[in-house]
Amino acid sequence: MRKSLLFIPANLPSMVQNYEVFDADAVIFDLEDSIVNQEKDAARDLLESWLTSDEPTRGEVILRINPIQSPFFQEDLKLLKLPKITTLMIPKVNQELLMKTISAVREYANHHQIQKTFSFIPIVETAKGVLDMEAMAKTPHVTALLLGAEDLVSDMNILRSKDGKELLFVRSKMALVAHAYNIDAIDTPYLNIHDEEGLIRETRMARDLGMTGKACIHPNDISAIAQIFFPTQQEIDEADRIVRACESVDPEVGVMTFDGKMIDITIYHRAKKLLSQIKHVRRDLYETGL
Amino acid sequence: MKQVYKQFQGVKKPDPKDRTIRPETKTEKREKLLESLEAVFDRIPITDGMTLSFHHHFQNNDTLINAVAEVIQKRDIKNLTLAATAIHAVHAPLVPLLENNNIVKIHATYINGPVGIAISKGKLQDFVTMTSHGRRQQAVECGDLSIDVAFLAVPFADIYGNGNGIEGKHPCGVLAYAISDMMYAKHKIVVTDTLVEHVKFKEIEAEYIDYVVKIDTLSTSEDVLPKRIKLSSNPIDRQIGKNTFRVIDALDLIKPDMACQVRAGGIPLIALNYLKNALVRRNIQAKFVAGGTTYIHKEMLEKGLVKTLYDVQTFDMEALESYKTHGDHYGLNASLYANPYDEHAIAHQLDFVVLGAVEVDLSYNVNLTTDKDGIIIGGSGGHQDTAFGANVTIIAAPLFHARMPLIKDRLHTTTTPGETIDIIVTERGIAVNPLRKDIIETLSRRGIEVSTIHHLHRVASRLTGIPVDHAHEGKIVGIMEYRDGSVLDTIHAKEEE
Repeated sequence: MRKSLLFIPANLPSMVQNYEVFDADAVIFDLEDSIVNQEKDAARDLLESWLTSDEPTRGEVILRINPIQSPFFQEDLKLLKLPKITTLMIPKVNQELLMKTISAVREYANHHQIQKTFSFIPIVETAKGVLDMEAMAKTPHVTALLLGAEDLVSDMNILRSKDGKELLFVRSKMALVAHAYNIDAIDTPYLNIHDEEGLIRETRMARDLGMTGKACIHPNDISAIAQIFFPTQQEIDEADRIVRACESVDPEVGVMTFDGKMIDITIYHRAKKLLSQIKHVRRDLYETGL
Repeated sequence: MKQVYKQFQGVKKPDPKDRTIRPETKTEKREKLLESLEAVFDRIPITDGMTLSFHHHFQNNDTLINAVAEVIQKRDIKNLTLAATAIHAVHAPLVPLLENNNIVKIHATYINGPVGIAISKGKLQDFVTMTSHGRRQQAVECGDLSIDVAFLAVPFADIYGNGNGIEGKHPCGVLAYAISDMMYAKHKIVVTDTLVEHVKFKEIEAEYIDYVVKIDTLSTSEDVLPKRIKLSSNPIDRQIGKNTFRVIDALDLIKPDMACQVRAGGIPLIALNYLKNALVRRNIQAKFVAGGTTYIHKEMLEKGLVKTLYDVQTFDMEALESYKTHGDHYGLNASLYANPYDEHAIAHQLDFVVLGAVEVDLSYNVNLTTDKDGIIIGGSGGHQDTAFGANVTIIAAPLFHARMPLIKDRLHTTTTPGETIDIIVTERGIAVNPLRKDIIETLSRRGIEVSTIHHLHRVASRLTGIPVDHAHEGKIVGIMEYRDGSVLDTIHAKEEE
């Protein structure tokens, strides 16, 4: 489950050396926007020296490479050989560019005898990307979509607001598409690292719209995100009681009453889904929200 | 001060029957108000070879030690012993007094700043005795540390010598570390900057006080305490705080009537904040939280998450307000807090304690006294006492600072013996003392990965390399006492390279 994803600029040794310390479900090593052009080689070198071991890591390791149309793309592909890199995040992409990128990655991997299957996370950060969301979501090996809000508002020549009304449609569409194709819908990072209230407000809104996780740029944001995307104890307890109640009779039987409310097979399945989702999440990740 | 030293023979529980308590020293003096510190020196009189004591509730804002030092220097009084519960950077003016043999011995629980550097450079003629809070109280009551004159900085005092730490121009909070000195020193001086006719709430009691002096200010800054102590926002600190909370939780230490102490700063305080939130969610009330207090302690008391706070040092104004107004926020006499011979001392009733460390060796011995170069930068405070008294002692610290690793083959100074340390929590793993098989078993059963300290040592070494040890062992400049009065370690001079 990718609930919290931490961006780490790949040229900062102080951050890279701590990548396994934090509780994020995934870390995203960034070679793109957070790295100035003259630092791109240093960032690749640093990752190459840190990610050599094939010991299992606590969370998923994702690499945000430069777009296929950039002069850095080919050099970035040299990191595909690192054993820990199995997921690539593709920026500024639409369906056509995504297909080209996937094809280039496969070609490079084949040519260099890199024997692993990569999964892909397109970043929806252009108007064309928004229109192509569904096509990208159903592309094989795409496992999530990430909303890149800053570039998207820039592409559309609009400003970001506190309540996020300008992104309401995009978030809703992304959540819908992701659920339809059973992939993750990851919300854009909240950039004001000193505004915990704002982070909580935006994360709750994303969750309420159906997004399944949120990226962040500061490790201190992980707890709040994990906590918001984790069901409350009350929700867990209720789901548990619903499942027990339904399974004590025949759940397929139709409608029954529970705590004075009518529940049907859909509610039973939803409760089961919630319990199965949390089964693999350490409860203490939720418990340690500040 | 006692002259015969016994060597540390391992951690033993002191027998209360062996406790020696001197008679308290009281006075029947009626006219106590003196016009200046100079007048105190004349009246007592203060002469060569005496022992003068101070408490550290003003921390790095204290003016009193320097004011007294100025009189000593002016009169060129020699061979004094300075028995300050703690010495901070603000006390830099003491250094010339060390160099001039005005002060030849020091007795303290914590030393930081230029005085620590001067001692480490061999500028103290005799040596420094570093103790825990509990040992100091006991040394005063039994006479191992015999104080001639106790200078008590009291923020709010009356002309009879009654006083407290919560009112006046410069409130500093509870006066826990002043109480034994007040009870047992030969002469006791209340020094205040807010003198009134009567004091209602009395921590310092007139019957013990010989003289009262008003000075301009007890504090170098307008506020002795911050409004609210700052919780570290460093993500590594937060992660270690979180990991610490997980260990506490996995050991089932979060339960009704639990009793704990958590160092009132840095990473441990982050762990306390997580603990507070867990108590809210689980609707649990702790029996007591002891030690230094902060706004987090205040919130816990206000929300009914803890029945009682036992305060020995107030770290922010919100905690001070709580001490002032809340009936269940008690100021403790530091002897009741941690006297080694008091079976019922609060430090001996702890289910768990969370502490810090500068260095830890492979036998879990902890150093908080000297830095990587062997310079004195701290001390035990209550570390030894609570590590001994708590059922579970947790050290929460980063595996390395810059490139200096937490875990070392050998310590410059042992402050707290490893047999009283149970768990080391870092951002990169948790090590449990092999003496605590019960803890290893429980944590493993609860899915918490337990490493060995050797493994953490290897992880740190892989990341930082092994830094060259720059400490040079010159002459002995100090001793680190254990709480039973034995010599746990010696502190050596840092010779100029």
